[in-house]
Amino acid sequence: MEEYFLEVKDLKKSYSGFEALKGISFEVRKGETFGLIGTNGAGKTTTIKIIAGIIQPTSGEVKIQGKSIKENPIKIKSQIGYVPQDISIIPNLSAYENLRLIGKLYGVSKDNVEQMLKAINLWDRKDSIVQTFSGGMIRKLEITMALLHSPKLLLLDEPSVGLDPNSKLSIWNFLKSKKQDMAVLITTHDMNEAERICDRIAIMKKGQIVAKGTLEELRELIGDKNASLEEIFIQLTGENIEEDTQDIKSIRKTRNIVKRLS
Amino acid sequence: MWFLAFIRGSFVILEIELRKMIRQKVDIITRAFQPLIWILLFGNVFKNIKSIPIKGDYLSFMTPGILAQSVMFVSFFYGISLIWDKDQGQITRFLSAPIPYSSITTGKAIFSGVRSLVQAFLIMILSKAINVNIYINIYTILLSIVVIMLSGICFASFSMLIASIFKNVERFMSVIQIITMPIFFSSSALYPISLMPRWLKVVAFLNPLTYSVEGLRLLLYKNSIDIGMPLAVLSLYSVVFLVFSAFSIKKLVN
Repeated sequence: MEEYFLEVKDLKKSYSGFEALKGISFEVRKGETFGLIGTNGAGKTTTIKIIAGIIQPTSGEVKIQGKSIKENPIKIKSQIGYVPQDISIIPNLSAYENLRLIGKLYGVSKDNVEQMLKAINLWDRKDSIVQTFSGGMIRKLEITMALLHSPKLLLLDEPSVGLDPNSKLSIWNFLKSKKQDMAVLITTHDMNEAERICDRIAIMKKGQIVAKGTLEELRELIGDKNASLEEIFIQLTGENIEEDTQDIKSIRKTRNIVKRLS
Repeated sequence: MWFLAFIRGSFVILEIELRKMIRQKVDIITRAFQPLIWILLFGNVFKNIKSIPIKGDYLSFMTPGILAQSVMFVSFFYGISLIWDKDQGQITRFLSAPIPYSSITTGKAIFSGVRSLVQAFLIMILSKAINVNIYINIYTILLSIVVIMLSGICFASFSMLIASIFKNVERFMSVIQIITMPIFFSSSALYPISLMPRWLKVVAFLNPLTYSVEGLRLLLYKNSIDIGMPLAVLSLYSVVFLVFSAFSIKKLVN
């Protein structure tokens, strides 16, 4: 039997009668990058927050290396690295302080923090306040914060929102270089990002997974071997990801992220 | 394991807040001036009212009350701080870390106590500078630290509980504005409880600010260290509000 780093089984979440997740299931293997794609409101962030142990599901199960997060949340969370959609860095502290303090929450030593700062070429700017950093540097620092404790599972919620193309490319290359020893789950509505970095993809619509598989498997599903992910998405969901599907809360949130990163 | 994670989480959150405070030095100084203005303006008018039955001068009676009020105002800010941290994504990061949720609110509440101490000592120094007659010695200083820390923890936990329920700054501010002045005026900060009508005495008896004021007044105005009752009540309120705020913090991100 194949061992999965992450198993999600029949996950459901309701808010005051509204079903945000209607029973989704998927698995992610070691060394694999699995993408959840969908428009705003599809349930991507809810899924990732449940897996990160931030919110509780209404029903269903999340297992990390075969163990349920409900049984020992503190131990399981120590195996997860999480990069939220919002900019979670503390803006008026230095890069070193941010890494060191988050590292302390996971029991990471000072030496490891210093090594990480050197590895991402930020050693020279370790004492700079992160407010002065570019958007790409902030996101890289946040991903580094999530990787400090060598997690088994890395969760990335829309990591490239608000970034310019060069910064996106830099983040994608950085992620590719780190993924060998862990499972990566990423949510995005950037089709280009999903195509470039995901090994397998699940397409979500209104709290459900409508299809999942490799890009080739998804192409086979719609019977077009040359289809782009965007074309597959439109055919399977009837939605255009670029269309104006965002509510005012999502627009404000995205604009805030862009503003803080620029 | 839970307890170790709780201790580690609380101390890291405390350290984060301390580091943020060090970068906001101006805020520390400016916030100390508001209570001084209360003492200089309000106190100098009220000291001429002969019907307030107190022993000694009114400014000395009032200063512990203003000190406790100032601790409450500073601590009530930590509800907004929690909402700002949520809006900036920091709370989500902490909730995903291997620490109990209660360590987030506990760390912030302890910091509120530390922040209140800084505020209180500035007020004590300024009060002495304008010749307010308060008792300052090793016993009153040490016990004042305990009363101020407990008051800071109590009011910050209460504020974080309100923040978790109302979730955004606008709603939080409207609730805090509605309750702040009644809490202040229904305590013994400005006048003795004996002056209050019977119904207000009951409110004052239930009001945690009364115990913060009474603890500091016993120490700084009466030079008495018999503060067991105020400490016990403040401790009880602190534990209750800490427990409720720890349970409610999850509501912030749901």
